[in-house]
Amino acid sequence: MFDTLQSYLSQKALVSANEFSELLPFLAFKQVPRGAFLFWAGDICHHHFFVQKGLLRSYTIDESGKEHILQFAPENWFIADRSSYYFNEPSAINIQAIEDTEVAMLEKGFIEKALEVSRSFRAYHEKMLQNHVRHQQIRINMLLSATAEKRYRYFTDTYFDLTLRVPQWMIASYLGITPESLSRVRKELARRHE
Amino acid sequence: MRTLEAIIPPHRVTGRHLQRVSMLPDRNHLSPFLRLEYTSGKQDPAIAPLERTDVPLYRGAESVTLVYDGTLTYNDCRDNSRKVSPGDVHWVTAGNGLLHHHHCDAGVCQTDGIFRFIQLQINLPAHSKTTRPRQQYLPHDKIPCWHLPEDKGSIDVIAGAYNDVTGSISTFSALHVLNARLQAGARVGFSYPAPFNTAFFVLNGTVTFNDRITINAGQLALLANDNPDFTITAQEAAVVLLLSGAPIAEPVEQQGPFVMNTPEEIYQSVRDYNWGKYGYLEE
Repeated sequence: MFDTLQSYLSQKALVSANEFSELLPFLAFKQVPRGAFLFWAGDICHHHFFVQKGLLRSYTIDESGKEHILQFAPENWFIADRSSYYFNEPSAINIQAIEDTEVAMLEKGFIEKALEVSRSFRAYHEKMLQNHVRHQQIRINMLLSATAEKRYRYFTDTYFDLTLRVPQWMIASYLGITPESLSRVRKELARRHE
Repeated sequence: MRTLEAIIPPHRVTGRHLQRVSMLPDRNHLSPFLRLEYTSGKQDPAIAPLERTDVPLYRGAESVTLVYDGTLTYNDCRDNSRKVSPGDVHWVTAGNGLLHHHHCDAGVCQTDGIFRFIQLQINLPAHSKTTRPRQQYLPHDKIPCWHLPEDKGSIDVIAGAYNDVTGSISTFSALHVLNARLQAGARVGFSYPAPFNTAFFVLNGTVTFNDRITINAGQLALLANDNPDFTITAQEAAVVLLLSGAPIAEPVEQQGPFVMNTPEEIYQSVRDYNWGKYGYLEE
């Protein structure tokens, strides 16, 4: 049931099979059909979610009703609302399945237990946090200053094959541009390769 | 006589309004045919007037659409556009890169809304994966046809041959695609080299395989590679799509609309897509 997560932690954090078995009490499994919600804005986030199969998106809705996509989470990605999780406050984000999805839900004690039982997990966890902050900084900078094409290229570098799995309007929402702008970018890229 | 290997049930059914049944769970079962999808149902124009109907192929393979009811609209990144009407066949070779898709035609959605069509995915051998994209369109009245004696039905020869009738579609490997419309009691014989992977899908009615085994509508009969000859007999009026082809003995790597031979080629194909090298097509 958690083979994908176990394999991921084995490769990335050198968590052994014995160590992983001690983490099992802190895991729950959930299937989320395409279009269904894993988490609703207004709730408090009590889990980190690891995507074993499928694809999730997190997004907010502004006062005019417009959606803004914060993150996509395909296979082997984590997704959560860290503010809500660590500060116990109601979340502003929704997490929805774009494809039929299977997630491992990491309950509150998981990370503390992993830090306790696996010395290598500590280094991995530290690196993951720093990497998360790094990507957030790049993303803020992109949204403040980058051209639409530069944002699109960064998206394809980060997510690579999600262009085949996600509709254009969602990519545009993630990039903070209109679908029309994204169309122009893709047309321009195609024109250069004619 | 060629024997039956398996009756393959649908392995995946999707779609709320148009039901799409995918018939080939394992792409190695029927090489060079990768996938057979049968879509049927009534499209509600209020909900999704232009529902995308296919899983298109952008590089390394071919996509074949056979329409039985309704009309589809085809568009591609080279500004080609056409209607595909009942009885027509649209054979699209993605080759080295072509963005394309079919939509349910809005006009049909707004009238009776009934759609029934099959889409085949056919692999290309490695030496043809970089061929130039092309489309071959066969309106129903131009499809070569073999007529059974005593008005017992007809067999559209879309690709390959049947008896002395040869199909006009040009293919990259040896294969046969036939559409048989049989009256009750019609009995037809087929013969293909034993190594050819062979199967038939029953769209309508009930047929008997080799006078012994009943195959019902919605079932795909996968035949063994033991002997050339077999027969199909219609217990009632039936429509049967028959596929037979020389297997392409090469590794297959598929990700979404790309069908290549190695993971590196898939990586390059996705990269080329992201960089706009296939052109542009509005969703």
